[in-house]
Amino acid sequence: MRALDWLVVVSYLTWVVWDGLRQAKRSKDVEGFLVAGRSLPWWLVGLSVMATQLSAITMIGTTGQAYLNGMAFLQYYYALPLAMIILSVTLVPFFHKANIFTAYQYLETRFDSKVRTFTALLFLFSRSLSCSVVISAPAVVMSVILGLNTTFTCLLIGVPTTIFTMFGGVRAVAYTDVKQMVIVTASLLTAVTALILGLPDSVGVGDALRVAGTTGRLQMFDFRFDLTVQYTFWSGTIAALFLYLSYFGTDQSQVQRYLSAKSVDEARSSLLMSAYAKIPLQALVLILGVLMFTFYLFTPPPLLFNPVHDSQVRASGRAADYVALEQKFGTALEQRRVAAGALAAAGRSGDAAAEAATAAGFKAADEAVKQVRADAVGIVKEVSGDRGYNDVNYVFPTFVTTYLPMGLAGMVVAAILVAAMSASSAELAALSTSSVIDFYRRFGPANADDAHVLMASRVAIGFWGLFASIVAIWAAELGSLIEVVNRFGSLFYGSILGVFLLAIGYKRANSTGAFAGMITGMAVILSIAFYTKIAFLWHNPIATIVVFSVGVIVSELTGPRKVGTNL
Amino acid sequence: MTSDNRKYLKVIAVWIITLAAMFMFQSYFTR
Repeated sequence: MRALDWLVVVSYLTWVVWDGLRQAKRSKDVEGFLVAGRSLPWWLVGLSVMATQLSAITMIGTTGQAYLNGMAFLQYYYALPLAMIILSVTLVPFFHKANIFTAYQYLETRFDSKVRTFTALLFLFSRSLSCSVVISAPAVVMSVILGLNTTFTCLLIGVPTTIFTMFGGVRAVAYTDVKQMVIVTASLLTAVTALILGLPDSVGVGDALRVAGTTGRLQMFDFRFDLTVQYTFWSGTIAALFLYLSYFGTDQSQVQRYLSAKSVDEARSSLLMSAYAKIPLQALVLILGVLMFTFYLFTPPPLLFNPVHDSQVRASGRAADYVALEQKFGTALEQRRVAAGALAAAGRSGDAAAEAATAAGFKAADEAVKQVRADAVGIVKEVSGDRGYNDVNYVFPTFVTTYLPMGLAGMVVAAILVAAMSASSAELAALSTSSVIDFYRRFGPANADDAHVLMASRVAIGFWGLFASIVAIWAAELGSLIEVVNRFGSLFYGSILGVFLLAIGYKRANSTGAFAGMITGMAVILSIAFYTKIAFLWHNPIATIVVFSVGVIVSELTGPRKVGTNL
Repeated sequence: MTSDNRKYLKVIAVWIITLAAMFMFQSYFTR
């Protein structure tokens, strides 16, 4: 990072915070603060919905994953357009008509306060932890890449975000999201262009992609029906549908986005924007990772992408082994470069036999490179004592700071930081809304007026911002533990969807049935997660079905105490 | 057909075209 890059980063972050603070003057009552006065246009809400889901982890983690494993992860998004249509027809008009602030408010009208309190608590628990991870994951990577202290980078993301969200409310969140989407898209396109221009003159983009194809990195459709494989066409279209219905339909961090739209039609259009754009955008993120792979076929990559661990190993007792591995790595890379060039040339010639022969040579050379990397990673694990070590998150930031021209590197770094800020600001706003609407307004002072609730909302954002920043600093030290807890929270999406389905789809359901269904669903999913190898996407339909079935049976056995209305 | 339904059909059509295009992309580069 050079002076101009720093100037770009500082200017962009300052503008984001200043513009967020400016929104304070239009957020002077509770409705204005928590749902932007239900006045935002569809394009603003639509970009906000997409931005909330696209955090810095997508930019650094997903690109790195694609570099290592390819585009199979794209299948995870295949059900998203269908979920958006179902929600546009069902929950969006329903929530808008109900004039609510949080999705959980509806559960009290339909069942009782117990169900609402429980689901809202579950949301606060899982979202507050995920907000910390949204801050800590990029903070750790950026601290290494930029040579800064981890606590400082956590605070650099957490503190300004808390301040502008406290003052600007949901309107500030939405406008920050727009800035995020613009700079993130520009950064992705810039990086893709740089990667294409970085290929040798003799290798075209098509040749490079064909080489990547021989390693299976362009596999975007896996039609095996195997519940233990994480990403297949079936898990992406069937199981993920339940996840998206739950995430976009019942998770406050998303529901709050379209509750701020000025009409039902605008809310629908905002969701349909994601239906059109999400898969292509995610494909762009993943193809960037694949192009990094092709770039590093012809330009030698470092043995380890995390420079801190590189220095740590060099200073350890295994330094001699590491240096020997580096020499081996250099030879393996050179052999792979030659093999890749030969494969690209054979592909261009159209000679199928030559292509098959060179493909075999290339795959063998690629395996040799992988083996040396695996040995180096083994040394890091031994020296650092970190059994779960991998440097996947460092691949993209290393490329950016090493190969992008001055100014553009700063733009991408700013995009990563802004992505972390805007995703966490949306989470903070949602956490504050649920804390105040689902708890403080019910259990706090009885005669609290609008100004009092507004102040409580601001204090709640301050509290959650502080909480997320402190846990983020702690998580930076104890990374894997927090991630485990965060994953634990994400196990319950299917159960929450089950309760909402029961509420709106089964008239005779009562609160005892809903509560029993939810507890059973959660217990079943915990057992499945701990004792089976079923891939996590399938947890969602299983939980939804269990909650709904148990809810129906228990409701029938205990008798309807409070009859609700269908949609 | 209502304008809303037309909107949803358009989303489904674009979804199918996107998946088909990606499948062709995959087939072309992994032959």
